[in-house]
Amino acid sequence: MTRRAIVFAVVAALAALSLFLLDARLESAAYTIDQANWQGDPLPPCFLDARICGGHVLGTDDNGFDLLARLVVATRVSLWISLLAAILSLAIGGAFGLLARYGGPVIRFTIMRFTEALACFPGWVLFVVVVMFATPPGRVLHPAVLAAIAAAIFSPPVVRYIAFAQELRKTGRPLLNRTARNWGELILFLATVDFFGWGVWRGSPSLGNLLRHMEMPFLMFWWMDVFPAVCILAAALLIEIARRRFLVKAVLSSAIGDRGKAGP
Amino acid sequence: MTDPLGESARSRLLKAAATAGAVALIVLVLLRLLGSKAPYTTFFWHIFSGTSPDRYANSGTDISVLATIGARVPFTLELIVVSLLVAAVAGVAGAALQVRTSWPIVTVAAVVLRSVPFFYLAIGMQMLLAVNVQIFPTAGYTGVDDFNLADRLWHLALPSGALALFALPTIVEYFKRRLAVAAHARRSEVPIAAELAVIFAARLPELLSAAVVTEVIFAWPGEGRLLFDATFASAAIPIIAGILLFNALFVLAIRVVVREFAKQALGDESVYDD
Repeated sequence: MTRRAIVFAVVAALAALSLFLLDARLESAAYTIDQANWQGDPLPPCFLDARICGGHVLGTDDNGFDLLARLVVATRVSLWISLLAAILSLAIGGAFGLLARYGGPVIRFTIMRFTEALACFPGWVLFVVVVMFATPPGRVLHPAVLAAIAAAIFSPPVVRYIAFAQELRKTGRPLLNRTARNWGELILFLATVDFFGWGVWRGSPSLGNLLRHMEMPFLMFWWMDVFPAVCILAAALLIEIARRRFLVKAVLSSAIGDRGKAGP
Repeated sequence: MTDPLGESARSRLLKAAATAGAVALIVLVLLRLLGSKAPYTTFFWHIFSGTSPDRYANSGTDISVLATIGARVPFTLELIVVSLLVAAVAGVAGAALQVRTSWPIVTVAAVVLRSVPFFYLAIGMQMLLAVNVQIFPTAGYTGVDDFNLADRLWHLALPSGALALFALPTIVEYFKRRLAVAAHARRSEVPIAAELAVIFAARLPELLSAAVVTEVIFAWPGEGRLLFDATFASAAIPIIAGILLFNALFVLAIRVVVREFAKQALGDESVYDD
C-alpha cells in the first residue's frame, strides 16, 4: 500500500512536471494564430493528414490556435483553478466548522443553519447567480474569485464534518478524502460553467472553454470535440481512482458518501 | 455525527424553520446585491405580489411571478421523475449484472460516467441521436398542438435519458452494495425505500443542477430553462429570486420529510450529512 502510494506520487509528480515543462514550451503557441497555414477551417491532426496539418500534432481549433498547446495550457488552468477551489473549500469549511465547534451554542446554531441552507441550493444555479452580481459591467472575474465562489458552494460538507466529528484528531483522512473528491467534482463543475460562459474568460483556454464549439456539425472537426473531453475525463478519472485507491477503504461506499454504511 | 438524530420533534422543527429563514436571507441578500430595487423589509411581498419595481418579461400583465414559475415546475418534475425511473430500472439491471459476473465492467462504467462532464454527454446524445441519426426530436416538448402522450414521451426520451445517465452511477453503486449485503445477510434491516429516499434527498441539489443543464440543452420548458433565460436577460430579478427560493425550499422540505420518515436509514454516520 505504502509502496504503491509512493509510486503513484512519483508518477503524479512526473506528470505534473512534464505538464509544467510542456506548458512553458507551448504557452506562446497557445496564443498564436498559425497565419501561414490556417485559412478559416480547423487544420486536422498530423496523423490524419500530414500534408496539410501545418506541423500541428493534434491539429488546430477553428481560430487557428494549436490544439495541443491549448490543451496543455487549458489542462493546467483547469487543474489549478479546481485545485485552488478544493483547497479553499477545505479552508472556508474548516474555519466555519471550527467556529461552529468551539464558538458556543448561538454561533453553532447560526453557522449550521446557514450551512444547511447553502447545501439546499443547486450548486450550479447558485454559482451563476453569484457570478452575475460579482461581475462588474464589461469585465470578467479573476479565476481566483471564481475558485473562491465555487469553494464556498462546495464547503458545507466540510463544515458539517468538522462540527459533528467526535474526535477532531481523526478527521484528517476523511477531510483529505473530501477535498480530493471536491477537486474531481470541481473540474467537472467548472468545465460546465466555462462551457456556458459564466466561468473563465472565453478567449482564455480552459477545458470547458475549449469545448464551447461543440455544435453542429458535431464531430465534423472531431478533434476539437474529443480531445478536450478526453482531458477532462482523464483528469477527473485519475483523481477519482487515486482517491478510491488511497483514501477510501470500502470502494463500494461512494454511492451514499465516502464513509459508507454497514457492510456485509 | 449524531446531531441530526436523537433530538425532540420541536427542536427539529425549529431548526427546519431557521434553515428556511436562512435560505430566504441568502436569496434576499444575493438579489439585492444583484441590483433589486425592492426594499429589504418587504422584499418577498413585492416579488410575489407582482408589485416589485424590478421588471421582468411578464411585469405589467396579470401573470404573477408565482404563476410564471408554477407553469414550468410540472415540466421539471416530469423530467426528473421519468429520468429517475429510467435510471432505477437500468441501475438495478446493471447492479444485478455486476453482482453475477466477476468482471467489474459495470463499476468501471459507473466511475467513467461520473467523470464525464454531464453537458458533454447530453449534447453528444442530442447531436448523435437527433441531428446525425435523427431518431429523436432535437429539442422542445411537443410536435403537435394538443397533448399526446406518445408524442410527449418521444420528446422526453433524450432529455430524460441524459438525466438518467447522470443519476445512474449513484443508483448502480447503491444497488450493487445492497445486493452484496442481501447475498450475505439474506435480509437487511433497513427498507430499500428509506435508503433510496435518503440518497435522493442528499443528491437532489445536484440532480436539480443537472436538470437545469438538460433543460437548457434540450429546450425543455422547465424552471431551469426559465432561470437560464432570466439570467441571460439579467434583469428578471423576480424570476431568479422565485426560482432560487423555490428550489432551495423544495430541497429543504424533501430533506425534512425524509429525516422524519426514513430515520432508520440515516444511521450513525448520517448520509443526510453528505
